[in-house]
Amino acid sequence: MTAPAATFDSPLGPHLRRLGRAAPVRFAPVLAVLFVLLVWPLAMLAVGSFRTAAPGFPGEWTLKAWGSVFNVPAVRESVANSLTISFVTTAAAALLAAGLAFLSERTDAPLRRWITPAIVVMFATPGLFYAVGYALLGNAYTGLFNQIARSLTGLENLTLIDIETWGGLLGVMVLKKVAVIYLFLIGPFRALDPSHDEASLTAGAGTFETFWRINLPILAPALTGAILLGVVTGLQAFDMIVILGWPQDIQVITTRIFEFITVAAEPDYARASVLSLSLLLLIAALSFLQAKILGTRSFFTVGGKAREGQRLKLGRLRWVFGALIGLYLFAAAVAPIGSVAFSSIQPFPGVYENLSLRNYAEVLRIQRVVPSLLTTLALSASVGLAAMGLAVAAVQAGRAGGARTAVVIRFTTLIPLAMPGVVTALAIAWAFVSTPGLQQLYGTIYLTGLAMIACVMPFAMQAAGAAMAQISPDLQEAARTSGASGPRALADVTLQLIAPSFLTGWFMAAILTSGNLDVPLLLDAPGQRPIAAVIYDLNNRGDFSMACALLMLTLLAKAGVGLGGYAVLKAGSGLARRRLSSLAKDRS
Amino acid sequence: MTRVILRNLHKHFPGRAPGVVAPKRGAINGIDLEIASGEFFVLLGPSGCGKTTTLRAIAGLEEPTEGIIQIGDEVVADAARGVFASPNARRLGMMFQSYALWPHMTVAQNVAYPLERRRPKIPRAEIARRVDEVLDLVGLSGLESRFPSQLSGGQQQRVALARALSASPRLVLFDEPLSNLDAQLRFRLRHDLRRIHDEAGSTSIYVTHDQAEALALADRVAVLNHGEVEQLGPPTEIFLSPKSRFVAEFVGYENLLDGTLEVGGGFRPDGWLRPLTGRWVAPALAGARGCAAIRASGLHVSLDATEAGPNALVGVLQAVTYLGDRYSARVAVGGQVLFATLAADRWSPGRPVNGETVHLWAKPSDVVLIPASPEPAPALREEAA
Repeated sequence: MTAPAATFDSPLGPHLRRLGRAAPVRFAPVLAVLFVLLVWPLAMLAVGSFRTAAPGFPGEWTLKAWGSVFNVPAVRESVANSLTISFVTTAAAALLAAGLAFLSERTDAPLRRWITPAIVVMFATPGLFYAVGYALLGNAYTGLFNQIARSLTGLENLTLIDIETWGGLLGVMVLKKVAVIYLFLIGPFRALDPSHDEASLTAGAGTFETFWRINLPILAPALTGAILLGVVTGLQAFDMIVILGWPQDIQVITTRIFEFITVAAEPDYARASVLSLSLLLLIAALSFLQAKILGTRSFFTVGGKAREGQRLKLGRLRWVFGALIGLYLFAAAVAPIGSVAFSSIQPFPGVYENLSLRNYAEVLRIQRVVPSLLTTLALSASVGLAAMGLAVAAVQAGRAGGARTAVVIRFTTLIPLAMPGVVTALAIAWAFVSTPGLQQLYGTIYLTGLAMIACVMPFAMQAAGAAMAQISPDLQEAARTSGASGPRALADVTLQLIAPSFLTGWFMAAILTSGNLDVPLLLDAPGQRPIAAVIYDLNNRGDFSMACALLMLTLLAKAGVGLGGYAVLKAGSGLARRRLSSLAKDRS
Repeated sequence: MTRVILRNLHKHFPGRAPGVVAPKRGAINGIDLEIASGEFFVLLGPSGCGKTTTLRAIAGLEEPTEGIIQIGDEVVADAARGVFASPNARRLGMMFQSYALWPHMTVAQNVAYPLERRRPKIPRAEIARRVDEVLDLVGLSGLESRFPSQLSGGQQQRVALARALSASPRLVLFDEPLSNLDAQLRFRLRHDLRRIHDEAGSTSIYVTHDQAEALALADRVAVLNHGEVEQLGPPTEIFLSPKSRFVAEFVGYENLLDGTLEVGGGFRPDGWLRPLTGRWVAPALAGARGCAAIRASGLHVSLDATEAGPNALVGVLQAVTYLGDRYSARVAVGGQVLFATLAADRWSPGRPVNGETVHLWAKPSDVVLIPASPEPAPALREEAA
């Protein structure tokens, strides 16, 4: 048999494509969007630190900002504050989180089942809500906590807690940070292989000895990683410090950057950029360290087998630990939400008469509130959708485009992880204002949206990556060999299978976006202020009760959307199941 | 006419350092094959030999680095001319090792999918009729509305087969489709696969590492090693006359003895005093190196010398394993260990082995003599790479 000469006018004609350039070209749009959104701003931020003028204005090249910024005593003080806050809160939060993770996963302490759900709620609660809640609860004069203590003891001048102190600020930040570290630790704690324990026990070691000699060393990399993560988030903290720290003149790096741009008589973009880059480098170094530690020594695997290991029997002590868990849950979850809820029906903090829903009616009458709620809803929904869509495309590009593309994409999407929201906003401003054609976006809600997409990108990548990892490439290839084109196979198979994870990721990204205060404060879009900024304004000018009413409204709206979405998902799968069983019945 | 032609097919995967083409698992280095229309063709080889890569290149899931692939009269890939047809344009069916059934679609939806992708569009009623027909062919009628997760492994495997066949593809590709099943099921489905191939009349290319599967299914077998075709021929030829030591070992010859061809035609294994007589699979000259391959089933053990036949040897019995209808014996001969068969009535289960002296023999037709292929000069190798 001999082969006939190969011809180009085969029936395949339109499907033929050129080799070589084809693969990268297909994903060029995804790479271009990632570049404009994440890489270009970083580059322009660096450029901006050498300019004398604000973004978009003609200026000169200079090293002045680099030379001078760290000579300002106030800047040095804020750097010291950042480091102090970061390390102190991390040390305390890591201890608390590890203890809670241990109690929740490895012991029979009462209330342990409440820990994880409560902490997920705390994680999703914006720092703004937390800060306002505690500010009202722990105010030295009008705080609910002190008022209750006074009426219980009868001592008129008793002040148990003053939140507007260094201690108060640190305490609140620790309670919030526990959530981040706990969620990071819970996987490894859960994945501890009970057979390791059993081997140790049969070798003659007791339960506590087993924990110290076996479990703790296995968890060491995760603990180290969690601690570094805590330090990184501590350096990025902004909203809590703006609300709880500013009234006492406690400044950190992020608030100083914010001040350079918005509060100073003449905005100093160059110095803000220098400070941003320095912070970025510090965080990047820490993140690199974290990746090194976690990347090479990942002892734990989250297996599919759910094995319930032997829980540590606490005996009579279990009630003591149960009480400690209860105390934590109260302090960290019940108290701040309760405080906001109660304040929202008070006429004014410290006033316990005329409790009513008047604040709600009044806050909705403020001219900009309803449009702002709608803006936030639209903004969060579209930012979440765009970020998840981009993340799915990026993961798909990384899968299909080969190892090098995957590394580039992974690295690019991790950039914002090292950027506090304030820095992301500043970098986006530099990039878009100094690029002809993109300038028009400045001062509009679109630029705010783009900055928020950048902020939420690491989370979206994580969610999309986890969802896509569940889908074997075989499934898409089977569609291709069945005659489906590439996009068709993606739509028919992969997208349908990841739909529930995609919706969950979308919702979480939207929640994170709606609570973002850094970006809207820096990238002001006149007339279209997201609700977080409006609440901040209300709180700042002393309308605490109305701020609380608005916080409650947004909380209820989020819960409503979340529960609604959950119900729809449930109903969808329930419907499919019912249809299935009725079909099965028809057959039999 | 759906023959498949591969010409000088290469697929290299990028090495760690740019410019270095290291031999990699799954790479293929110049495969030439012509598979006839209607043939059941098996690619056989150990893991990493490039058989799956070859199949995926034919499917369009891998782009060849070099070479031409032709399906029917269409060139679907020609690296030199930059031609590459996407998988959906190749009108084929493929069965995956993992089955790759879409979990969100029912059995009927899975099987209908390739039909729905056909252009010009096939009418709904025709699709439904065809789905029924194919499910009937694989013996799954009545399970149309089940989801894959509600099926057993064997049923899932049949759905995957039905999906690969539903659009009457001109070429069906099988990527180790039976390797995830238990032995009994594998045996049954093997027969079904061959029957369905004969009924459907399409060309089939089947990848496996299981020699028994290749025997049962193939019209012709290509044994692959390090991305090259080591031997090509009908199953009987591969199994009875392996052309190289590698093929002999891979198709289950337990005893492989390197040695030299003596003047007079005898083959003397290294370190042996007496030559063996056997069957040469290729002409060889006196003094040439080679290898004698003897299956354990062709090497008989006798406890007394009078029963021994041709190629008689004396050895020391080391161990005996019961195999049900016979015994497998491990015998030390000179410095070597050979595996041989002991008839069922010559031993009893549990009888202790006390280093008995035994006699081995083999029919000359069971002693396969394989001349060593001359090693290519190193300079030539480098040039080829």
